[in-house]
Formats: sequence, structure tokens, C-alpha cells
Amino acid sequence: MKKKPRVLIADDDLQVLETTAEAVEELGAEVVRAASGVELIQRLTAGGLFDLIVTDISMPWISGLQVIHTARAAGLRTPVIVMTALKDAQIAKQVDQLASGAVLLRKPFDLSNLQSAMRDALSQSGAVPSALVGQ
Amino acid sequence: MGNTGQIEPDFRVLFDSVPGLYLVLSPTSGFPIVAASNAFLKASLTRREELVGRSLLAVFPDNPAEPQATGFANLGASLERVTWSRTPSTMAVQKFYLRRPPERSAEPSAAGRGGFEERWWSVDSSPVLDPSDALQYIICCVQDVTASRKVAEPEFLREEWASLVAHDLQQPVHALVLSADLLRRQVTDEKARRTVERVRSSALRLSRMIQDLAVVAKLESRQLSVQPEPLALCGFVREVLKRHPDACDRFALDPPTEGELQVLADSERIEQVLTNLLSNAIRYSEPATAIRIEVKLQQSFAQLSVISQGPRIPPDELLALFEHFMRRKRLTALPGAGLGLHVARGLIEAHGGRIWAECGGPEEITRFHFTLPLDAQTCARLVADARQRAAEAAQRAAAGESLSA
Repeated sequence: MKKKPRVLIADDDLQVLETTAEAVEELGAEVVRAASGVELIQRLTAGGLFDLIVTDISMPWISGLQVIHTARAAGLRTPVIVMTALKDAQIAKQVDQLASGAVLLRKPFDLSNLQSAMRDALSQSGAVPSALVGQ
Repeated sequence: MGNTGQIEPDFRVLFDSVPGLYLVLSPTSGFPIVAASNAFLKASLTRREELVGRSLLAVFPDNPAEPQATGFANLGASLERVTWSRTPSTMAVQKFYLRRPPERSAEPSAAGRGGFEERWWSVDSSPVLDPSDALQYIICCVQDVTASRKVAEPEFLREEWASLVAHDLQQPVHALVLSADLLRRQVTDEKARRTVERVRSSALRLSRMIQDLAVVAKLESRQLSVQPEPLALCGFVREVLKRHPDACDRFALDPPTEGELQVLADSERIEQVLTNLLSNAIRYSEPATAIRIEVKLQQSFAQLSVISQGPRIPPDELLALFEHFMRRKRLTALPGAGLGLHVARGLIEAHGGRIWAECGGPEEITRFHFTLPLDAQTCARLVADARQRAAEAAQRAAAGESLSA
């Protein structure tokens, strides 16, 4: 039996965090939750290896984008899905600047949007755990 | 008394002194600058000797440090449209960055970014034809609305507040959409599935209404801006139609005879417009009738029309449809905040396009049309096609003459 891929999910809205976590679990992954930007950093530094990061942008103290920029600068190449309800057109460019394996997902999204974003993020990075997207 | 009526005015002096921002260009490669009014020189932080004879886009490069700086590139596309169609082209207000003169390059400025200064301009470009109808010049009339963009603080705060509220409202709506989707997979009873589907589609509708409200707030505080990029229109329309599975079998797309048309558009905003028009067509048309989406070439624009069969709209209400909070009198009992068409007009005009409605005919056909400017590449292709056709026609005419001789 294949090992489930590990996905780290960060959102400061607990209902959104829980729903997104359930959706990713439904798609066959093991989920680790982070309820803030600070928790996202803690999980990244001490939570082991992840196959994918799914993060919101607007979180207090440090945004999801700031965390990922810092992680990229430190050499972390894990694929990332950046989810947001913001309409700012600049966000797409900021996500593009995260280099390969970064996908923007606008809220609200449904399961099929989430699944294709996961497929895109993982295929861009070249690290595709097939169990995750083989639903 | 002298015969003052005989004095030939010095038109060069008059043009230079005209109290408006005018620029005259040659319609050749790179659009070399032929003349500029003094007012334009002052507003554009340039001197006449730096401009005349040089290509417009070489003199005014967009700010490389600012991803939103596409003003002069968009102006280039607008000039291509004038060249090709020989009709005027109006660009909606957008941001331009002007390079500061060397003597002011070290000057600190809140508006300046990396040696550039920000301006908000709208540009009307008109063709000047010679007696044989050949394009001789293009005159650009620039309106500088930078001062009016600096809105009063309360108005700006209101827009910021509306954006924040829109963002916060989208969070629970998102949780609703995704939860309903998860539940839909788990529920096996058909009746319960339909109930869950209603929850999901209502949440998606609520999300669209929030987006519309956010656009209205931006329109009212004059903060609405779009990020136009080349977009293959028919391919894009097909993708948007797929996102309306409940009405997919009613849609029919008529593509243009010229093949795919590439427009300059902000895809997210145009999806918002098209979704509003399609939702209206689904809601107000006769059930089970076809909804046609027609894309065609209209001068230097692509025209998209959503055509459906529904209740007649009185002619005096056709224009009012796009006004703020206006609702059709006969349909006030139907759901909806009536923002959709007002939002659509704001978004289309921000792209430099036009939106309007028509209603009539024996079958009560309602047509909603909007236009979007073609991108420079498509304009260039159409110019080349037109030139080739003209050359072939001239060759045929010459062959005909030599035969008859």
C-alpha cells in the first residue's frame, strides 16, 4: 500500500481550514493544519517533510506569501497552492514569482478546482505523488 | 486699416501653444513623433528636441520596475487599431509612468517609483487622412486626470472598507461551497443531493454578488482598474460556458469567420461580465430556449453578443438597464440586487470597450453586446491580411487593364 502524501494547510479562518483539510483528506492525503502564518513556519521547520503546502494569503502578523517567499529563499522547493479571496490583480504576479510549483487558487473553489490545482502544483515541481491526484 | 484677413497664420506656433495635451504621430513603424504641444511637453516631463523624430515607444518606455505599467504598450495597441481601421480609438483612463528628466532623477517623490512618475491619462487617437484617403498622421489628445484620481480620504477609505468586507464575506461563502461539495460526494439519496446542490449553487451566487458589490465600491470611488493582457476570446468563452453546467446544453457559440480573435482583456473581470450576462439570460429567457453567444470582428474590436429569447424590454429602459440599482419594472419580483449590468458596464468601459442592449423582433429576441479592443498582434495580422487583399486586387485590376489594352 502506497504511503499517503503529506500536505500542510494554513488558514486563520478555522472553518475554512477545517473544510479545506477535509477536502484534501478526501482526495487521499494526510493533512497537517496550521491556523496562522506563525504556525505555518513552525510546522515547516519542525513538522517533517511535506509533499505540498496549501496556504491562505491574509493572516495576521505574517502572510502566507511572506512565509513562502522566506522558505523559498531558504531553499525549500515544496510545491505550494496559494488560496485567496482577495481580488488584487497583483497577487497572480506575486505567486508567479514564487518560481516553479506555485499555483494560485481563488476562493471560493470546489473539490474539482482543488484537485486540478494540486495536479498543476505537483506537476510543475516534477514531484508527483500519484496517489494524491489519482482520484 | 491693414488687410488683416490676408495674414497667413503661423500654424506651427498656434499648434505648439494650443491649451491642451496633443501629440502628432506618423503611422509608420514605432510611431515616430511629428509634433507635440507645449502643454503635452510640460505634462510629459519632456523637451521637444527629445521627442520629434523619435519613436513614441522608445521615448516613453513603461516602467520595468512596475508590473502594472502597461500604459504606453496599450497606447501602442490603440494606435495599431487606428492604423488598421482608420477610425478613432479611445483608451479608458489608465496608469502611465513617465521617466523623470535627469536633473530631477534624485528627487524623492511619493508618486515616483524608480525614477518614474505616475500619471492617470485617457488618450483619444484620431486618424488624419489625405485627400486620397491615405492615413497621413495620427493625432493623440491626452486628458490628464491624475488630480481627480487622488480621491478624498473618506471615499478612499470607504473603498478599502468595501474590499475588506468583500474579502471577509468570501471566507464563510468559500467554506459553504467546499462543504456542500464534500457533502454531495457523501450523500447517496437523490433528493438530499438536490438539496445540497441548491446550497452549493446559492453559495456560488452569493459569492458573485459579493464580487459585484466590491466592483461597485471601486467604481464609485474611481479606483477601478483592470489588468488587460492578450486573451484568445473564443477559447476563453468556451471555458466560461463549461462553468455553467446547469445550462450548458442551451448554449451555442458562433465564432467569428476570421478565426480566433485575441483581445486585450483582464480575464477575471471579463469572466465576471460574461457570467453576469449569461446568468441574466438563463434567468429571464424562456425556459429550454437556446442562448447564443456570438463573437465577431467589429472594426478594431471584438464584439461579443449574448442572444436570448425573453420578455420584451421597453426601448426607454434599454439604456437605464446599465444604471446604478436600476431594475426592469416588470421583473422586480425576481431575485438579484440589480448590480450585474451596472458592474458589467463599469468593467467593459475600463477596458476601453462599450456595452449596450437591444430588444425586438417577432420572437422577442434580447441581445446584450459588448466590445473589447483587439491586441496589437491581431491588429497587425488583420492589417497584413487587408494589405495582401488590396495588393491582390490591384494585381487583378492591372492584369485586367493590360488584357483590355
